[in-house]
Amino acid sequence: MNFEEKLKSEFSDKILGYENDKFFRHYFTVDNTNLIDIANYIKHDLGFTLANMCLGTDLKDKMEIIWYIGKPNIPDLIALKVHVDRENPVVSSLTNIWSGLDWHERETYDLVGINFDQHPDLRRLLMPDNWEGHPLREDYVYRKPKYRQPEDY
Amino acid sequence: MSEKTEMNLFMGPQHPAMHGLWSLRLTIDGETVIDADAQIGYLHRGYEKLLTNRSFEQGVPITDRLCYVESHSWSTSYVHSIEGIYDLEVPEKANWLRVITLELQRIASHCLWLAAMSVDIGALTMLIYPMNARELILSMLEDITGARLTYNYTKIGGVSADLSPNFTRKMESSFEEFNRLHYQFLDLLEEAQIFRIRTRGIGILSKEDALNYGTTGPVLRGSGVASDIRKDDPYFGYDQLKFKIPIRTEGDSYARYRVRIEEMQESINICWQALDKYNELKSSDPFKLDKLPRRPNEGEVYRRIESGRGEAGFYILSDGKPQPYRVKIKSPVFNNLQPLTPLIIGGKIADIPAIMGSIDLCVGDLDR
Repeated sequence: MNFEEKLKSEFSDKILGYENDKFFRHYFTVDNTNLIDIANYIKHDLGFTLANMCLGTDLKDKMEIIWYIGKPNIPDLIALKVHVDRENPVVSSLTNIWSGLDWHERETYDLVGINFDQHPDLRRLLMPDNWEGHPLREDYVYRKPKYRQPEDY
Repeated sequence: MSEKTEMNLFMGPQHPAMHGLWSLRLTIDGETVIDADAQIGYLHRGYEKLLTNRSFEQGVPITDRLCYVESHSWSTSYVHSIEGIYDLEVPEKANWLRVITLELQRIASHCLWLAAMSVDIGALTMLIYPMNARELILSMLEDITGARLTYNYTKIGGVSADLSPNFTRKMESSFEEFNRLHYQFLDLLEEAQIFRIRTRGIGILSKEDALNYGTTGPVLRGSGVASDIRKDDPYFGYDQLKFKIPIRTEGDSYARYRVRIEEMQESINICWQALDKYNELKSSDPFKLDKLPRRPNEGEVYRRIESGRGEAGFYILSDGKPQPYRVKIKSPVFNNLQPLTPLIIGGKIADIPAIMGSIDLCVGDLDR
């Protein structure tokens, strides 16, 4: 039994959708409440130990977060997809399972404004600390940043 | 006298060993590093937003500027993902031309890394020798693409130019000269015991940590995992070529150094094989597609290639418009740099350049 069959049979009622493409990417849509259980199973039972990346997308009516997880020596990548409410985007963090997702989740928080629950160190990564707004959101309006003067420090 | 002996040290952004603009906030006690925090984002140009404001074709030339050392790998990676969105099959000739240029680009990138890393740990003479070797590779790339740094060679559905008729002779003489220089500078660096003392047993990254942090490329292979996208997830016909993946099991700075050195020789071997495959084709065969579909398909694609630093990939979400809806760039350095902080904590300040150099930073694709 290959890994996608295993994952589907183990969490048959918790996986909301599955699709794959010809480039060996397997997209599993899951719910935020079951995310940690499924992620632990993927890492410890299926052996997907190589953290790949995480990204967030503003889909105008909801937010989509995708984690890509890989394994050495096979072309397949498991992608976990979670959709959350746009007004209050909170999702569980997978940094405690794969350390390499740390900066990716910080970047997603920084640019898209997703709050990762249980993330050990959720700060802005690429933008300055005092930046207003999240630049990759669809409703982002650019305002000229206020630069701090020496006397502000 | 005060009891407190800790102090804060800002390493970078204007530090000669930082390879660009980023900074490391260190807490030190004497010479020992107690805590470290990497501050990145000085070179954040908003590439993911820039690409969504341009059509797919217009985006390709600016991805050349993502990394100034390895521009060809990045534009090829973007084109590779776009071809997934358009669902295109590239002519075979274009594939072999891409393989040749990608491997040349990998050698050029490794040469620049070697020059930079040697200077970081004090071998100042070594700046010149790999640069000489890189010059040979750049002149070959100039012969193929017409440019020396930002090539814009890969087009959607093919490449922009065919090889010149005397390229085989040029490659022969250039690689001959390259090999001579290669062994010359290896003698110069490795025969000096100081280099081995500074890099052996320093910054040991275990196999589990390397996987957990999501490192790819020479950093992962230096920790004993034989993983290479060219073998694992083949593209451009790499599965038809015979080549080895150099790995080392020690996981220290020296192991990562050796992996890159051996990769340069493997790349030369791949170039010759790809050129043979290219010569089997007729000279009238096309090297690019004549027509592209007017509109991209809807959907999402994540495809990746093995660049000199590791897995370089682009995630593209398309809604059928000429511009992508969302682009995410998977940068190898972004993952490779994350284990740096645990590696340097507990070590000495003087080891930081030796560890950082072996990771092969390019802040251009770190910050995007």
